[in-house]
Amino acid sequence: MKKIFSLSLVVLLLSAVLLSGITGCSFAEEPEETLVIYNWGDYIDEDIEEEFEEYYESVIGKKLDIVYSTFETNEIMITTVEKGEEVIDLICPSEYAIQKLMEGGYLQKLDYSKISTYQNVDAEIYNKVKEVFTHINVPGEGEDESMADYFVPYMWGTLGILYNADVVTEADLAEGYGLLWNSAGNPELEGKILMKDSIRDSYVAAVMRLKELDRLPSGYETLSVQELINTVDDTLLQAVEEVLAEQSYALKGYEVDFGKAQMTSNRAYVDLAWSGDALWAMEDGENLDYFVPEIGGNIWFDGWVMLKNAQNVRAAYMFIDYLCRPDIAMRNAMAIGYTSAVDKEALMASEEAIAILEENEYDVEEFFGDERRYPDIASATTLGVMKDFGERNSATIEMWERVKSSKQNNMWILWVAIAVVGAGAIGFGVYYLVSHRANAYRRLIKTAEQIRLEEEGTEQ
Amino acid sequence: MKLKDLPKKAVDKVKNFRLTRRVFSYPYILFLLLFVVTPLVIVLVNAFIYDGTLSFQNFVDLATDGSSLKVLGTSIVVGIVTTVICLLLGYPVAYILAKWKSGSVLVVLFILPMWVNFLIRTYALQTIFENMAMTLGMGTVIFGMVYNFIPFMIMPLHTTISNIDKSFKEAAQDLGASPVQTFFKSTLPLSLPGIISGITMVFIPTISAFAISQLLSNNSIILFGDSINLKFENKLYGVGSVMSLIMLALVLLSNFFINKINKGEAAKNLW
Repeated sequence: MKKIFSLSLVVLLLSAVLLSGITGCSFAEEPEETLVIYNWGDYIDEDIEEEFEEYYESVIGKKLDIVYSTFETNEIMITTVEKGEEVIDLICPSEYAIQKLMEGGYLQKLDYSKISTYQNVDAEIYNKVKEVFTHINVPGEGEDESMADYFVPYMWGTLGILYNADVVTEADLAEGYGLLWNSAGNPELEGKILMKDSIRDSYVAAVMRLKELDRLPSGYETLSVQELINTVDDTLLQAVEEVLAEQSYALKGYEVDFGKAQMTSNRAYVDLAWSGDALWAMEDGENLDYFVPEIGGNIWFDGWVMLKNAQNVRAAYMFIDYLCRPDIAMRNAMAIGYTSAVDKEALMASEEAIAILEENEYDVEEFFGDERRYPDIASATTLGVMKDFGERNSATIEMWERVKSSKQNNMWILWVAIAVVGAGAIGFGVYYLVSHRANAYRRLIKTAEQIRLEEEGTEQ
Repeated sequence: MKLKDLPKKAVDKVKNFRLTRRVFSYPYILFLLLFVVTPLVIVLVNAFIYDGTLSFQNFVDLATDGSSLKVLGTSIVVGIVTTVICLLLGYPVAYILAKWKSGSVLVVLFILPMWVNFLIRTYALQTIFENMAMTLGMGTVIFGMVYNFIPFMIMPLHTTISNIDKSFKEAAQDLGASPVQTFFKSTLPLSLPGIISGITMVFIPTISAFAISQLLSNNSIILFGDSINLKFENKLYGVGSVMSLIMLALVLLSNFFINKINKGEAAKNLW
C-alpha cells in the first residue's frame, strides 16, 4: 500500500518542513550513546539490533541505544536525507541511490581500516562497482570519486523472471525475456503475466528483449549489456517504449508488492522479480522457479553508507563490522531471503554460519551451489549494473506513463457503451415500475372516489 | 512611553479575554491555515520552480509531454461516465427511498458501507473480481468508482426529494398532469439542486481518485490522480504541482458553474 499514501505523505512532509521552521529542530541529547540506522523495511534480522547493543556495551563500556527506522523506496529515503533535519548515521540504499547521495555530497568516505571484517565482503561486487561507479562528481571531494570508497555491500542479487513450472513450457523458457511478452503464444499465460511497476526494472527487461529480437537501433548492437542498460538517450527510449507498449497486451498488470502473493496463489504464472523475492516465493509456492535469461540482465546491490553529519561514527563502524561477520551475515540472509554480500568462501569457512544454515534445514552444497542465489558474476559479462538515470529521469518517467496508458485508448469505449446502456436500462426499468405502481394506486383512489360519489348521489 | 505601556496593554488583553464565539473558531482556523492553505501555497510555489529557478518550464513540459494530457482526458471521460451511471442508478433509488415510509432506514443501509474504509472495500472488490476470473481493466475500474461514489449521489438527492413539498405534486395532478408530466414538470426541476450537488460530489473525487484505479486494474490503467502520484514519487515536484493546480482549477470551475446554475441552492441541500 506504500504507493497509495506517498502522495499525502509528501504533502505532510512538506508541511512538516514548514512546521519545523517554527518550532526549531530539537534532538534531545541523551546521556547514553545512540546509533541511528535507516534501512529498508524487513531487511534485517531484528534480534541483531539488541545483540549489537549488548556487544557494544561489552566492548566500549557504554550503553548504546539503536534508533531504527525504515523506508519503502529509495526515493523516499533520498527525500528524507535531502531535508537534512534528522541526524542519521547509517543508511542502506541501492547502488543508484548511493550514487545520487554521493552527487549530493551527503556521504563521507569510509575508513576501511576500521572495519576488520571487511575482507569478508565478496571482492567481485567491488570489481563490478569499480567498473561502473567511478568518475562520480562529489562536491567538496573531487570529480573522480569511486563508489567503492564510500560503501560496504550488504545484500545483492539479480533481476530475473519468476515462473510457474507447471504452466510455463520449455518452449516458453527458450524465449528468454520473451516469456514476459508471451512470445511463444502459450494460451495459458494469457493475462497471467505480471510486470514490475518500476521503470528501472522494466527498462532492463525491455532493452534485453530488444537485444533478443535484434531490434536494437542501428549502432547499439555492439554495446555490452552494461552499456546498454545505462543508455537512456531518445533513440533507445523510443525503441523501449515501442516494445513495452506491445507487451501491455499480454499483461495481467503491473505489480508493486503483490507479485509474490499472486504467484504463490497461482493467480499469475510469470513475474519479473528480484532474486531474493523469487527465492522467498519459491519456498512458499510449489513448482515456482526463477531464471535470468541467458542474453543478460541486471545485477544490483544494496550497501551501507555513512552520512556526513553522522553523530556516532565509532558505533557506525562497529555496526558495519558486526554485520560483515559470517554468522551475523548468514542470520540476516536467512531472515530476509536475499543473498548476503559476504563472500561465500568466508561463509563456508565459518562453522557458526554453517550451523545456522543447517538449523534452517538447508543443504550446504545446494545452498551455495545454487546459481539463482549465487550467479557467477566474475566470468559473466552479460550481467550489468544500472546507474541512476540522472537528468534523463523525467524523460523516462514520461515514457513509462505513455506505455502504461497506451492500452487506454480503445478498450474503454466498449465498456463505457455497455455500462451506460445497462445503467440506462435499469434506471428506466425502475422508473416504469414506480410509475406503474403509482398509476395503479391512482386508479384505486379514483374508483374509491367514484364509489364515494356514487354513494353520496344515492344518499341524496 | 510606548515601551512602558506594552506590559500594561498585554495585561489588559489577558484581563479582557472573554470566551466569545470567535475564540472557538481559532483552532479550526489554525488547522485550515496549516493543512489547507500551507500545502496549497507550497504546491503553487513548486509549480513555478524548475531547477531551483523561477520559470514556466513545468507548464511547457506538461503541455509538450502529451501523455499526461491523454491521461487527463481519460480521467475526465471516466469521471463523466461514473457520474452518469451514478445519476441514472442513484436517482430512482433516491426517489423510491423518499417515497417509501421505510426509506430513511434503507438510506442508512446505503450509507453503511461508507463506514468501511474505501481501501478495504476496494481490496474486497478486487478479490471478488479475481475469484470470478474477470479481467481487471477499465470495466472493473468504473464499477469500483460507481460502487465507491454512489452514496455521495444518493444522499443529496434523497434529502432534496424528500424535502419537496407534496403540494407541488398534488397541484400538478389536480391540474390534470399525467404522472410522467408531474415528474418531469414538478419533481425533476425541484430536485435539480440535489442533482447538481450529487454530480459535483461524484465527478471531482472520481477524477482525482487514484487507489481505486490502481487496485482494480493491476496498475494497468493510469488516471490523473495516479499520474500526479507517479510524478511526486519520482521527485518531479514541479510537473506534479502543475497537475495538482489543474485539478484545483477543475474544482473551482465546476463550483463556479454550479453556483451559476444553482444560485447557491445546492450548498443548502448538500446534506
